[in-house]
Amino acid sequence: MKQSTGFRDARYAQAIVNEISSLVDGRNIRIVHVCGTHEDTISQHGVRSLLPDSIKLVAGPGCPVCVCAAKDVDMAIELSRKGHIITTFGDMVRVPATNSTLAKERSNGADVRVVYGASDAVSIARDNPDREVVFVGVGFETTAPTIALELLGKPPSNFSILTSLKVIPPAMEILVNIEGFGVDGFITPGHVSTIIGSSAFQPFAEKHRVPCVAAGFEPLDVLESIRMILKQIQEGRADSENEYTRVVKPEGNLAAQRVLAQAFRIDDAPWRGLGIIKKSGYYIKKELAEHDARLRFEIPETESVDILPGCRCHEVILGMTDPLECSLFGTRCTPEDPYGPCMVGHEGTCRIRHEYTMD
Amino acid sequence: MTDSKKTPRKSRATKKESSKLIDINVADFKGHPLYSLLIETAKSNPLFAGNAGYAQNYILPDNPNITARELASRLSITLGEALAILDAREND
Ligand code: SF4
Repeated sequence: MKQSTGFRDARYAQAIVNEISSLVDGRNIRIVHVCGTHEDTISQHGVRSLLPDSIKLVAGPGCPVCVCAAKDVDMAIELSRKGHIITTFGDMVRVPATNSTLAKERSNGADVRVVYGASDAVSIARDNPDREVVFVGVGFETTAPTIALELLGKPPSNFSILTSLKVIPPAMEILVNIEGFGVDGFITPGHVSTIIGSSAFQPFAEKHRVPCVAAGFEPLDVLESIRMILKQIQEGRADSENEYTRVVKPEGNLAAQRVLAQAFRIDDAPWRGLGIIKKSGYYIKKELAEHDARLRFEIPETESVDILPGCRCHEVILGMTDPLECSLFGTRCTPEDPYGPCMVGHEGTCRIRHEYTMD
Repeated sequence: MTDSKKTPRKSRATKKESSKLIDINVADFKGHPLYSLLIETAKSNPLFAGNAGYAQNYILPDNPNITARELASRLSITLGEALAILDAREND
């Protein structure tokens, strides 16, 4: 992969690190990213170890399965117990909910199937016309358009979606308002920016006087985005800039934005352990209600438990606590047997930390 | 919507996995020596004020007798934070 190699060249990395060092003025700088893939790049390539001590690089809420409310998983489990076919992404199957996981339900006989996307779930529905097929749709702005397309493409009547789709900018609003954990700059998520555009973060940058830079997923992308943030700070600017120009456009993907607007409305949504964040969730529009699993099935409200005793995922998700500070890390909670949602998937901060810090 | 394909299954346990779940309510726990510590810790969560405000505006008016477990579930917050929200309301 020629392109990938170029973005990992140690000489370029050193040059950017030198510039970063020349831009720090001694005061502590806290830079937050909100993307699990960025955290993976940062941890895998030891990006933190290259930075001056005064720069703290923190992972925010960038893992969709980590922030999926326990009640949504409980609901999927309940539907699986009723004999319906539950389809979802691989990570979701292992996410701990209140009493169980979809994986445990599958081992008890439930029909839970891992799919690569909503289109696979639609195919399963077509192949099983006498069964109800529910797709548990989890993700951010990146995943939502693919789900919207399936909804708009006249899926079979036995197909429905249990949405737990989140909108990222409102979660960033929460982060900037946390007292004692100020944010000096955001590395904005490359995938999400591909859809909504780097310009989408401009009002946010201006409102909070926080530089934002959309970054790609190679180590040099991340380093360069940090350099760009520091440059803005030095110049007293707070703009939304774009490091990931080979993919992200200022206006984003207009076709994807159109299908999102056709299929979904935006409303308040629960984020696991954090609470309800205003206007942060995609919900299926009423014109498509027949495919909305929340309306289609009568599922009684459950008393769900988002944060199990001892788990500190809600603090990890906000970047306030390092996974290593959780007493369950690597003992009661491991990738093989995750106790909290952040240990499940490759975008979870605890899982990533476990992968790159444990022998 | 029918659920004709019901699969017989064991009834759902209410407490499971090394007693992960604790059924707790403000009244049950109030005299406990660690109660005030729990409430203070929960209130130190930087999102507490926002969650308490949301509960006051959108949940508690229609559900005055809501339990801490129910509130925690509705808001997707920790049980401690839900207890602290109900405690603050009681002390208003
Ligand atoms: S190590 Fe496990 S229990 Fe602890 S915060 Fe992470 S996911 Fe939660």
